[in-house]
Amino acid sequence: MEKTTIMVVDDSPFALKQIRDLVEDNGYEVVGYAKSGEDGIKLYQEIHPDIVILDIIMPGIDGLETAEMLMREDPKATILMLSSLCDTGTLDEIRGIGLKYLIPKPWDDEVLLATLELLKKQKNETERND
Amino acid sequence: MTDVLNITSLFDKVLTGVTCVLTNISLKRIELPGKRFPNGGYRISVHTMGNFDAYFVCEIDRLLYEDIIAGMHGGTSPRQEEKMLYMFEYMNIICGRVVSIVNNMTGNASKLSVPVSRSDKEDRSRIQGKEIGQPLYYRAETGYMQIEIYYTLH
Repeated sequence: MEKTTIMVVDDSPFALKQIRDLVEDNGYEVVGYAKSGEDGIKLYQEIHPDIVILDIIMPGIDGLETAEMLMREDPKATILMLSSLCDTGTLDEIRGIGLKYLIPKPWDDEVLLATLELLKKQKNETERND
Repeated sequence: MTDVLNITSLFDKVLTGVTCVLTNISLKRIELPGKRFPNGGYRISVHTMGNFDAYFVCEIDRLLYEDIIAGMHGGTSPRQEEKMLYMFEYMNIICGRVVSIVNNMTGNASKLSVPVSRSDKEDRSRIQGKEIGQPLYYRAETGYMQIEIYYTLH
């Protein structure tokens, strides 16, 4: 069975390692990594991953702006936001740009995996309906 | 608001809790230590933008810095060029958690900067005009950590 592909956009190699170690044991494959929003946008155009895991606080453009640009580029982009900032205001901002989920750092592995599964199912259903 | 919201106490709880979760290191809060950084140290700072206008400064002993990073990296050290990035993420997670709690309590939406490694002189302009929280001192097996918090809550 083909693995669901993930691209990680986060300036922290710690976050990349944690995500990679977790998801690659659970049926996913990390196919790309970018340390900034600008690089993430370019990389997305090259590799078109199934899911993007995107940090908010990064040098240069932040994750929210990156997500908006990705969705303008590809309205079907599936994005999961990650952040140390996890207050209701930040969640409102994320929902305001059309995304649903925010995983707080440090995350609970089961919550991250369950959210990825949910996104994978939603993406599959959308593609079936098209 | 600052009487009800004790920023120093909040930071202490978050720092010790998150450090334990990320690294298995137990930070013990102490009074002002004597010779703090016999092995040399590092200074990392983070600031906020918004109603909670804060500046957090972490000074850490070189050996404790190495231990925290190794703790985050599963017990071994990452590549030399990545080490400070691990420390930046450590500070990002702790300060982000603190700012999130303050945001939820105040109903405001302050943001957090990317952590940087800065000298004492470079910090001075960020400190001006802010209230000074009680400094926090910690000891772990391999060294000390000091946290300074400067803030204004509008």
